[in-house]
Amino acid sequence: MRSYSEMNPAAVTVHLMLTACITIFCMEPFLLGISLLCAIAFFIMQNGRKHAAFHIGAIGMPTLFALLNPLWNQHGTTVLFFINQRAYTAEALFYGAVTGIRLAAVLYWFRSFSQLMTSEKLFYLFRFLSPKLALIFSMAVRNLTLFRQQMQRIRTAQRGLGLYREGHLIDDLRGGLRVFSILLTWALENGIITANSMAARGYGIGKRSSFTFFRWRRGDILLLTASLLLGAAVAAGIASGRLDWQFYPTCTPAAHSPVYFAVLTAYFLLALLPVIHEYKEAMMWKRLRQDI
Amino acid sequence: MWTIKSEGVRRILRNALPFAVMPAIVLLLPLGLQEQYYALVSFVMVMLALLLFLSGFERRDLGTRRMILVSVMTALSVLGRLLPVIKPITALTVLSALYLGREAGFLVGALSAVLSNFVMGQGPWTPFQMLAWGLIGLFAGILAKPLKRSRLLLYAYGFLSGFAYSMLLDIWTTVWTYKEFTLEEYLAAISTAFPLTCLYAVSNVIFLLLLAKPIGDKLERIRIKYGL
Amino acid sequence: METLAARHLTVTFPECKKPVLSDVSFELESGTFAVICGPTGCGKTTLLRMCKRELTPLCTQSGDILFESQPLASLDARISAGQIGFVMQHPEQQIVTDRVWHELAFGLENLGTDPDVMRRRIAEIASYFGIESLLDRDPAELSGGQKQLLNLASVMIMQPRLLLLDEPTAQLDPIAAADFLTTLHRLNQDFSVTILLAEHRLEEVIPLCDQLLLMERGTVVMQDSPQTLLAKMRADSPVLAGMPAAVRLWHELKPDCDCPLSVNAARTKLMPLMPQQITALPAPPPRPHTDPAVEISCAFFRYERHGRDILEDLSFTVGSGELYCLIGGNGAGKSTVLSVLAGINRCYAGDVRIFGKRIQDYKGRSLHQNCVTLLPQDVQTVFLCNSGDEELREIDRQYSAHLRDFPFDLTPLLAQHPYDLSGGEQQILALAKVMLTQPRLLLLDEPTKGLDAQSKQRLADVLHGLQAQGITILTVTHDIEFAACHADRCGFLSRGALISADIPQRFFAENAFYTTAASRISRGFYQQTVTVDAIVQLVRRNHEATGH
Ligand SMILES: Nc1ncnc2c1ncn2[C@@H]1O[C@H](COP(=O)(O)OP(=O)(O)OP(=O)(O)O)[C@@H](O)[C@H]1O
Ligand SMILES: Nc1ncnc2c1ncn2[C@@H]1O[C@H](COP(=O)(O)OP(=O)(O)OP(=O)(O)O)[C@@H](O)[C@H]1O
Ligand SMILES: [Mg+2]
Ligand SMILES: [Mg+2]
Repeated sequence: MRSYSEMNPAAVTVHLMLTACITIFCMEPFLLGISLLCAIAFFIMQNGRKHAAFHIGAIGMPTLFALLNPLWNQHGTTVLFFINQRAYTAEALFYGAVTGIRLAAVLYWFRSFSQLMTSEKLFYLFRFLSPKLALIFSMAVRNLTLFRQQMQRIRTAQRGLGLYREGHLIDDLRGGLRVFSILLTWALENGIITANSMAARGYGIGKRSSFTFFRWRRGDILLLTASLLLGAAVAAGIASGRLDWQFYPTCTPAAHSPVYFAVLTAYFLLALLPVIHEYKEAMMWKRLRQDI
Repeated sequence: MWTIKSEGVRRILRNALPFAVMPAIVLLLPLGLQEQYYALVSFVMVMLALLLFLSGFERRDLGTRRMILVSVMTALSVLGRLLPVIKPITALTVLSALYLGREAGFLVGALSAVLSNFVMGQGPWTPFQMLAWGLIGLFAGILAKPLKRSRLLLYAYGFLSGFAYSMLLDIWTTVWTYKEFTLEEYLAAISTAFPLTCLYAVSNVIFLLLLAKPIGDKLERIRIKYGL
Repeated sequence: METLAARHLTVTFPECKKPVLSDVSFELESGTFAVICGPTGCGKTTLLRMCKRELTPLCTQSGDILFESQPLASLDARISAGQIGFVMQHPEQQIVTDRVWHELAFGLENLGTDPDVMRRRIAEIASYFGIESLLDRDPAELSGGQKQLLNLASVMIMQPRLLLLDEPTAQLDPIAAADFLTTLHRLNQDFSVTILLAEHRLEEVIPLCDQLLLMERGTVVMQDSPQTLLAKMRADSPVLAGMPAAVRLWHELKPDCDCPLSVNAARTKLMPLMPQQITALPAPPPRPHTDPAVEISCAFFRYERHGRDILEDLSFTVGSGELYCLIGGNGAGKSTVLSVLAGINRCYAGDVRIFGKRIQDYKGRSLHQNCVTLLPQDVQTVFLCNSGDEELREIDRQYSAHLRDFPFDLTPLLAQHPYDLSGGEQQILALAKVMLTQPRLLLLDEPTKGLDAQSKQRLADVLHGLQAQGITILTVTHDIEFAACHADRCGFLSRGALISADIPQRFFAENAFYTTAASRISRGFYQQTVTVDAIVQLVRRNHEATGH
């Protein structure tokens, strides 16, 4: 009984990256619409009702793009009105909206991806390519929180000493700089101690092996194969040119061939995989409980 | 477990991948795709260039301490990137490169870009930012001697790197929004971003003015104290 | 066979004229549990680091260190890394990864151990140290004691032959510290690991160890079993002040028995020889009542909105001019109390008054202008500059005038970078900086950690001097001995509430675990003797009464 976020990071990465990359390089409005909806569904599944500000920003983007694009894009033939003697065309409006939707979908996918990839998962992934970089990366992530805490501690310690004069802006600014400066000293010194601690435990003396709790289970392999197959199908469909829309000078949708619908369906499945997975697991749990 | 066991095979893969795959993609892609050609190719090229650099550094032995210092500088510049509007990332990358070497410079720049994007918003522009900041660090490391000698040169480098960064990223903006790359559109993108670019360039200089001495002194102290 | 030996080791730091270590020679048989003690800044840390090749500081060195008869320098890298383990003073700084299991695996990964072997070793070690339930946690979330245990486990997983530890219990509460030492003892007994430990808190460790190395000014002056070494030590030796209560009692009273090391030995061998006509000292005169300097009533505080209450219905008062000690376990909320009093955190309910005025009514920064000053637990956060001199000058340009009566010699600290100082020296410099702010209420968070016995005595003199000027002092400490000897009143904090508060004599006489060794030794023989001095005084009175 594993949720999507607990699956093997490599499988999850391949799946999410495929989904997002297809979104990045495709300009098919329906496909992008599907992508955005599935991305939102996935995001809400992960986060519930939190992050309202992010939703507002991401959804507002298509509108903004749509409204602004015609201002500097003069292509298109259906003129809606003129601004400063420049034509404001329906095609440009539509094109802007599509670009906006694409950006919003990409944002959602990547946001979910960064939420899922905890540092240990990233470490697991990067290690495959480069153990050293993986280590630097995971240390940097850890340092981020450490430094934030230490900065706070230094600031309060200095406040507790009564170093700053009342309502003195320059004094405050200088204080801020000094805090940053000492944080730097501390960070470097602390880094050296950590490096020592690593060397003391034999880091860098020879070939490393690596230990991980992540394994490949059947579900992971299934996810990987499904995403690769579906992804390949969609990519081939896009490459065949059957999904190409003509936006200028007039908007011409792609021809409604069977391939067209097949590709859209394949992409829909690909993007919906996490939701399907989660639903399946929930049903299974329910059935298990009922059987008892 | 899903790792390639043999170090030799890994090395061959790392080296062969960029050199074989890059030309192959440039040649083959246009056959299949007409419309998204530029965006896809530039994206893949940047990814591969990044891989090439990073795999080069994987082989070099930076030493544990220097590696950890890279992670420290990265974390600091990410913290700095959370400031509103102006970011000290370039300044910190350049300074790391000067005192810790060109590899360190590249790594600090590239890693700060990915890491800070976990907060600022990850996207297809991430590899471009990684490459841009990485290269700023790399060149600063190569030019370390003159840059360390003359403050004025250092500020000039900071100023110019602001523009270089913007110009590299605008390539992506252009191909991504217009699906194609023409000089006209590129110039348009550059000119829309011009005020921001100027702000960047100037803020780089300001940060270098503020940080060059204290950070330089501290890194120098650590270098002497621990004999890096 | 000896596991570790030093032969005429002399070490000089670059840009220093005097060597930190001069002509150090010692030998440790395999399976020994040895303890190094000596005053602050005598070079204990440096010596330990010289014994671990990867940690050797940049220095010029003459003489040799041998590990199993091989010079350290010629040791194979794998042996040097795997067979010699090192645990440092600050638990946080040596943690490398962000998962407990990964921290344990780290050393084995470096040695290229097979993943299956690793899995087994991690499972074994986790259950040996009782940290199985923590495997998936982030080490940053662990308590100080757990972190230190994790550090020990992640070194022990490589199955070292020699274990070096540098003040590993400095930040731990008395119970966690005793647990940690017991674990060490068990490792020593179960696996015959040779252990070399540098410590200032000797009460618990001396009964467990079988070799004692005494350091002074950069050299090992004596090495022997603790029994013999302590018995032949001169009674006026400054080192004696840091020794266990049983040893100090024996030196003061010179009874006809072997020098006892533990509480148990003192109770069974030494105390029965003592006269018991008078069993209690006259009660100390009650402190004259003064206006309260600190009043907290029914205070509640939490760090996160949905977190738990860290301070829960906390109430206590500290009279002005009083020296009040707050003790309690790791994570009880002691530092939090101080942060609330220093105006850094604010309670969400309850009333906090400083000198009779509600803390909210101190507008702007008036609370910190010559009123309340806090010496934080992590003293490194106090330093901002590049030398001790600049640090002090920052508060007061004419600092030397104000520090004329300061009993510590600051001159060697002034030119150094604060981060280059030894742990104890940093503590002293931070204390000097805090004193310069001339507060009316001084809050000290574990001021005695990393200090040797003599420095602690000097610190107490400083505090009593301040008290004489009418300054109120509230200190948090794990050092129960210090609290018992010098506090006017002690309070015990547990889970954010003050459980009990009293004068030390009554307070420690009633506690069973949070109490001094002297109190445990004399319990049942004498009443309310919680310090070695009190026992000695009582014995002398008895002798006077019986006309000896
Ligand atoms: N890297 C360094 N450069 C110069 N001097 C140093 C350095 N490290 C330590 N010292 C000095 O060497 C002396 C011995 O330091 P060390 O840390 O070994 O003392 P210690 O016995 O461990 O003290 P403590 O009990 O306070 O921990 C101190 O006076 C310290 O200031
Ligand atoms: N900034 C913070 N944010 C959230 N929780 C905190 C913070 N600081 C401390 N805590 C929690 O509050 C509790 C009390 O912490 P505090 O530092 O006051 O303990 P303490 O008694 O000083 O312990 P020690 O003896 O180890 O110094 C702990 O459980 C700790 O995890
Ligand atoms: Mg020390
Ligand atoms: Mg505390």
